[in-house]
Amino acid sequence: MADASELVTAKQNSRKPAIKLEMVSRNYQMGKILVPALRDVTFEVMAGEFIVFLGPSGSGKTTLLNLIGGLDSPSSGRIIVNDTDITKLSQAQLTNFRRTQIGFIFQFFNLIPTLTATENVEFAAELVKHHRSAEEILHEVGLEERMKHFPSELSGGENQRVAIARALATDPPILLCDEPTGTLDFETGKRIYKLLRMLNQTKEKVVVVVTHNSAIGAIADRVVRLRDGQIAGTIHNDQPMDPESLKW
Amino acid sequence: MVALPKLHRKLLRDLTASRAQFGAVVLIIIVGIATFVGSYEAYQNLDSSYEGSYEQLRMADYWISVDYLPRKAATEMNDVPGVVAQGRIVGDVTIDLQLETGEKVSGRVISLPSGEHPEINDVRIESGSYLSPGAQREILLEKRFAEYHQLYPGDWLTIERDSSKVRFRIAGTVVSPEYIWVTKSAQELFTTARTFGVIFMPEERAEEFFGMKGMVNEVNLVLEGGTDPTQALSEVRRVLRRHGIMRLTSKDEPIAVSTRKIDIIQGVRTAYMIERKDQLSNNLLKQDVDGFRQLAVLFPVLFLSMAALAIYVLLNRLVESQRAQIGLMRALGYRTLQIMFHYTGFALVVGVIGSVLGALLGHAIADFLTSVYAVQLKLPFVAVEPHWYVVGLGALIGIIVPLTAGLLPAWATTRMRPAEAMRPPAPRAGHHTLLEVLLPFVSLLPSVLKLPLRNFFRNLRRSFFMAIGVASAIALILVSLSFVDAIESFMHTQFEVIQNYDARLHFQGQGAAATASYIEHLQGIQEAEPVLELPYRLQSGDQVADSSILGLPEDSTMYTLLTLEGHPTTVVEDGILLSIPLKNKLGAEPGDEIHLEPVVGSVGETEKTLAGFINEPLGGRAFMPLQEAQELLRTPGVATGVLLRFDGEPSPALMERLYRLPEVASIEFSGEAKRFVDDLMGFFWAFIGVMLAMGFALGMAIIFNGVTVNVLERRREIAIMRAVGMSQSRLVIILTLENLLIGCLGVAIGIPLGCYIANYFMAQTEMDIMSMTAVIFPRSYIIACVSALVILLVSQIPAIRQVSRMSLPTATKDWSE
Repeated sequence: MADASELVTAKQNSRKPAIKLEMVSRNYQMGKILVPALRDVTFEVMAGEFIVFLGPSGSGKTTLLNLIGGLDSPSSGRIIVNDTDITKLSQAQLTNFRRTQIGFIFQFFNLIPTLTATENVEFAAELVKHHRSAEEILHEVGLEERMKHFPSELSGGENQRVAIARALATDPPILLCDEPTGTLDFETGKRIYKLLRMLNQTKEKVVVVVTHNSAIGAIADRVVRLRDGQIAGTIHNDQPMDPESLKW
Repeated sequence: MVALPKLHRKLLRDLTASRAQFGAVVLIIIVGIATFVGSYEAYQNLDSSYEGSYEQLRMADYWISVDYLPRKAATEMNDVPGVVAQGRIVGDVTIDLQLETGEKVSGRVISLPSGEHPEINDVRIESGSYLSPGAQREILLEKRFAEYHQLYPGDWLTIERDSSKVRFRIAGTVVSPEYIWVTKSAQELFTTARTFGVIFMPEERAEEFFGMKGMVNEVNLVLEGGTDPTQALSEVRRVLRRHGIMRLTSKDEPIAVSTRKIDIIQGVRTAYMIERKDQLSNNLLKQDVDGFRQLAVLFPVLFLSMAALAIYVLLNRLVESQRAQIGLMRALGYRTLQIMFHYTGFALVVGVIGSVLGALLGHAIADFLTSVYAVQLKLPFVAVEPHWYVVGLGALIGIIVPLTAGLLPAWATTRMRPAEAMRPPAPRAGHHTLLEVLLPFVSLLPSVLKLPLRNFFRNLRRSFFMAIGVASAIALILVSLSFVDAIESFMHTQFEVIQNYDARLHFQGQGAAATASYIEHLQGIQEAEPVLELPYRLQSGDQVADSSILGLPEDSTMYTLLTLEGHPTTVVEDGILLSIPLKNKLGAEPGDEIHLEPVVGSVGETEKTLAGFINEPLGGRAFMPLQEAQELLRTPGVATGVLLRFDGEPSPALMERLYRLPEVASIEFSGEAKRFVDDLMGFFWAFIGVMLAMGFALGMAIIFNGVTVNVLERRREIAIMRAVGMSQSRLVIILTLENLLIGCLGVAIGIPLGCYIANYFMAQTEMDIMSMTAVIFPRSYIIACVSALVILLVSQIPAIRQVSRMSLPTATKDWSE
């Protein structure tokens, strides 16, 4: 009988890649200097995977997230998301791609300050024809009592949960999280990761988290280290930790 | 109920969150549109009022003046298809007011049928009743004259002609379409109600009074709709010829003086025709209203230009401050056009609210301006009605202007890359400012002085745009004040500098210059100078102008001529001086030959060299030495009036003596003439008053907007300064100094801008009879600059208060709005 780790590996092996990067590079022109933010990065993120990209400031992790999410275009290489080569898409097609395939969760929440929690979720939901109700999603993230509040009336954790609810509004298969707990306290941060892990496990969402906090890696299926725009190493977690046990 | 899409809800909520700034922009639109709708509707109302008056009172299309014509000639003209004709008698008289002083004034008698209103050139009864059938001793009196002299129906009036004096009972007071602007002649345009009145007399009585039994000396014509004027007038000429009038001349078909001479010798009789457009009252009113129409367009254009700039700046800053939200929307999947239309929506909302309110306010202003003018001129018919196309046009402009101004910032959102937009902007490159390079000691200044200077130069674009806002406010206020100054200067120049006589005595026709010498010796008279004013046509090349020549004594002390630079000068021997309206009409330069042709008579055609130009605000005349003017008539010692300076207050006895002089028709006092012109300007004052109020409001809105946004968009920077320990008072000083620096730049730009615009506007308001020079008194510069700076300082208070109350932890980390 296969043991648990074998089962996990088997499960992983049977998954299709949801995200594939092939020799992706991204350079930025800063005056006369060309700064390589990413250099010939090649890897895959499998369907249903919870992956963490770790790296210090300037390692290229946010650039990587932006490229996967279609917010930016690579200088070279290919990015294939759910069988679509997004490097070949036009601006309009990329917009459509982001609307239906990606849910973004930012470090600073990026909520519209003049809309309530419900309205912030609906702001994204209205982009697609068939969408779940904002109230239902907010209920899922535990904000049923705070739906009519504006961002300025919510705590940091509540704001981030609204942001997560917004990211779920169009039911995208992929969630991209850029330092989602960067501005939150430890306990709140744990709750956020619990939520993300739950979404990954129960709704089979691909969750990509970029962070500099190495402790987070423990809850991921895989941890990819980035340094100077290149992959420096990969660790598979056969037994990812329960976010409740997180300590940093 | 259909739920509002969240993007629209965001728009409304964002507008509400920044309601002060957007409110200011809405106010700017309101002012701009209200100015346009108000002015243009008022102009339309006035035009309609005149036309309505003419239509209601059946004003003539043509006036034909002759020496005499049998009344039946008018009946024959009536038989011409499409022509309605009416004959009447018109003649100048003297009115004896039967006062202790023996005061006499000029009058014009116009005959009317008794018992029934005339078919053409009717009058409207204001008090009393129309002439009763068979009335012999009744007259109707023009309203203004009656009001001035407190003459009412039932009172008696003595009218003199030659040596004959007749008393008439006033049956009623009237207004006439021919005398809405009551003026005696083209040479005496500013006739006061005191010295000239129009009298309407029964036909039979007028025939008797003027010795024209069965005759008329004027025929009025109306051409019915669709009638060919050329054809109709050709028939009219035929009728005239049948009755011995061989020539019909007009302004457009003048008769050369040489031909007139021959006609006189051969006994050829001539009639003179004027069209409605040249009828004196109508012509003056149209000029007045046309000048107003130009301002009615210019001021709104100025205001709306400033509005467009303010909207552009505000939307630009809004887009800048919402970069992260724009990036987010792109990240979520909003299309670029959706985002662009969202931000254009701000401009649209502002435009719709502003234009609707502005159009409504403008309509109210139009009513106000129209009624002021109607009261001033005692219009017989006042048309105050909504001109929906003007209101609609105003509303449309009020939407198009902000939309256009907002397009560029909205378009900028489509070029933002989502990833970059969501990143905090890179810190500005650090370097010493140009000021510090040029003035090294700046680096040694305390930070409370150094920071404002550095901030000013570090973000030159922001500083410049704010300064433009201040400059716009100053320019707006200055332009409006310049009109106030121009009118004051105009009145002072005309009535204090040029006309420094106490009264002008008018002869009945031509009199003797020697009368001035006689008058000068009367007790109570300090000085008396004869003058000779003649109607003349001036020509230079192809350009022609009908005006008058005023002959003045070379050593005149009571009529000061001023050069264009404002220096006193005098009439030039063997030369002619032209006023500014004539300068513009003829396009001549000093040294050119000006051809002079008398309007009446066959004597006096000549050429004179243009010696220079005269700055005379009122009149539009030419000037030459009295003796040379007398030589034109080949009548030495002739004059048409005398300028008088009294020795103190003139006694009743003196006035009686003056009025008793046989040549005297009337005496016009300078003070009254000045008041009359001032009254005429009443409408202009009302208009300028409205423009000034609008200019101030607009200026306030522009500056408030600029200052508020300028402070609020630096909230993080301000929060950091406070977080590191800077006191509130120090912060206020720094912000105030920075705003004052910007204000000073605004002053430096605004003053020349205001001067340029004021000069341009003034040049557009030229009239034949009046020329105002752009003048800005020092006090206006001070008022404009001080107002702008005070508004600047007061405007920063709400914004500073807001940033003072913000949460430092939140503000220091959240770089976006």
